Amino acid sequence: MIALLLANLSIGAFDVTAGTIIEVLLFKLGLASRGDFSAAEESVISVIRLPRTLMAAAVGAGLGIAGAALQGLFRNPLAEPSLIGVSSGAAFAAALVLVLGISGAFALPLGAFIGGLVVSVLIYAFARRGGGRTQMATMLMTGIAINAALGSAISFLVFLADDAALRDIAFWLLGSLSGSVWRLVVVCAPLILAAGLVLTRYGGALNLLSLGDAEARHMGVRVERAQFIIVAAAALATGAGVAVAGIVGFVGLAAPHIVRLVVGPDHRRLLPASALAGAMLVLGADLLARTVVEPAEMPVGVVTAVFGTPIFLLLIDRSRRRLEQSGW
Amino acid sequence: MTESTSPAQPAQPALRAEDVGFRADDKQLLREVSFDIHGGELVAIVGPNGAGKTTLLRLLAGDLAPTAGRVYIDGRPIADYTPRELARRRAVMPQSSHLPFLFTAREVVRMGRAPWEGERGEREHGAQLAERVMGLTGTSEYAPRAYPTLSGGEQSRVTLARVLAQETPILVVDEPTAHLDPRHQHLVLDLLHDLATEGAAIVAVLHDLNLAAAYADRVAVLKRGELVCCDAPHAALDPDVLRPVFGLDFISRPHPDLDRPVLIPLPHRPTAGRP
Repeated sequence: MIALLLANLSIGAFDVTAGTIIEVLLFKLGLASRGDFSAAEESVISVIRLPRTLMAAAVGAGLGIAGAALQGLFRNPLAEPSLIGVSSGAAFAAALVLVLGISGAFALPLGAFIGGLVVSVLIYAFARRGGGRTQMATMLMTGIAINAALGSAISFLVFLADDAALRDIAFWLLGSLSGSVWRLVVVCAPLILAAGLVLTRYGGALNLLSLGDAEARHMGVRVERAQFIIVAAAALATGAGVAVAGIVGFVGLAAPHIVRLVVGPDHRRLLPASALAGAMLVLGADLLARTVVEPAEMPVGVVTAVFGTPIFLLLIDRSRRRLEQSGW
Repeated sequence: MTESTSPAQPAQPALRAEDVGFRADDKQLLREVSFDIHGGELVAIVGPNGAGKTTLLRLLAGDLAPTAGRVYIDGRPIADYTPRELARRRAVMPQSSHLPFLFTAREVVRMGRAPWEGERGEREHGAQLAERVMGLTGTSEYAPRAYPTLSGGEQSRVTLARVLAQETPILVVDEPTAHLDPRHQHLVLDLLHDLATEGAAIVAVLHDLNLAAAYADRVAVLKRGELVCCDAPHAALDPDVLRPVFGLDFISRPHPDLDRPVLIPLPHRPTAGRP
C-alpha cells in the first residue's frame, strides 16, 4: 500500500524520486526544513500528484467497502455499489449537467452526488413499499430495472449532446481521476471516511444478515434499521467518489472477492480489508492509466475493467470448483 | 426471577398464546389459538400441510404480529421486547439457512452468541459454549469446514448448535428433523428433550407423528388454522382425533419401551371426512 502510494506520487510525465517525495512531504507538513528539491518537483507533488493519489485511495476505499457491505446485505456475492443506483443516478445527473451546459466548479460533482443519492433513496423507498419490511430481493430487482432505465436515459442525453459535451460525458462515464484537486479531496475524502467508519460498525450485523433477515432478527439485529444505515452509508461512500472520479467499474465487485480469499468471509475483517484492497486497486489502476499511453492518459475505469474482468473470471472459476463437490 | 425458581408454584408461562389469530389478505390462516408453554416442557405442533403450523410458529417467534390476540413471553407482550432482549430470551431454529459465503461451521455457531456480545467474560464463555454445543449436536468434526459445503443434515445440526449457543430459556423450532437420518432425528430430539428436562420451554413443529409421540410432553394438533387440542401424546394423538384432522385412519399401539403410543397410518382404508 505504501509502495503504491509512493509509486503514484513518483511516476508520471515528470518522474520524482522517492527520496524527494518524502522530503517534500516532510517539508509541507512542517516536520523538516526545506530540502534539496526544485520548485517544479514541489509543485508537481503537492498540487498534482498528492491530491490525485489521495483521491484514488479514497475512491477505491469507498468502492471496496461499499461493495463488501452490499454483497453481505443482499446476500449475493455479485452485488456491487452500482446495484443500489448510486452510479447510474450519478451518471444521469452528470450527463444532464454536461448537456445543459451548467457551469461552475462544483456543478458536476455536486450534481452527480445528488443524483446518486436521490436514485438510491428512491430504490430503497420502493423496496420498502407495502409490507414495511425491506425485501432485499425486491430492492435488487428494482435496482436492476432503474439502472436499465437510467442507462437508456443517458443514451438519450448522449444523443442530444454536442461534441464537447459528448467527450466530457464519455470521459466521466469511463471514470477518471484527472479532475482531482485539493478542493474536491477535502470534501470527498472525509465523507468516504465517515461512511466507511459507519459501515465497519455493522460488520457483526452483516455476518448475521448473511444467514437471512429473519435469522438476524432472531439474533437481536434491528434488521430494518441496519439495512437502511448500510444502504445509506454505502451510497455515501460510493457517491462521494463517483461524483469526482466518474464511474470506476469492478472495484466494488472485485475487491471484496479478492479479500475474501485472504481473510475469509467475516465482515468484521472483510470491510476494512476491502477498503484497503479497493484503495490499492484504484491506485494501481490509476498508475497504469497515467503511464501506459504517456503522455496521454487512459480513463481509469477502462483500466479497472480490462484488468478486473480476467481476474474476476478466474475467481469465479475457483470458487465454483470449490463449491461443485457440495452440489451447488 | 425469584418466583420461577420455585417449581411447586405454577410459574408464569414462558410462552403464551392468547386468542391468537392471523389473517393475510382474505384468508384466515389462524383462528383463536390459545395455549401456554412452561419451562420444562417440550410441546410439539402437528397438523397437515396448510394447517397453519408455520404461521403459528412465526407468531410465537415474533416474526409476525398477530392480527388478533397476543403472544406473551414471560408475561410480557412480545411486541414490547427489543430485538436484543428477545434474542436473549428465545432462539429460533429455521428449517434451513442458506449462506452465500463460505463461513465455517464454527463461525456460524459463534454467530449465535451475538445477543451476548459486550457482556463481561463473553469472549471466553462464548468460545467454550460454542465448542460444547457442537459436541452435543455431533458437529465438532465439521467445525473447520465451510457451512455451504455441508450436507443438508449436517447444516441443520450446525444450525441447531447455533441456536443452542444463543443460550435462551425458550426455543422455537421449525422441523428440526426434516433433513436428518433416523439416528440423527433421535439425537436431535433427545437433545431437545434433555434441554426441556433442564428447564427450557420448547415448541417445535414436527411432521413425524411418532417422533412427536415419543418425545413431546404435549402435542398441539392444528386443523385449518384452529387448535383441535393440546394435550399429552396419548390423548392428542388418538386415532379418533387424528382421523378428521389428517383424513387418514391410524391404529395406535403401545411403544415397546416407552409409555407412549406408536401410530401406524392405514392409507388404504376408505375414511369419512377427508379434508
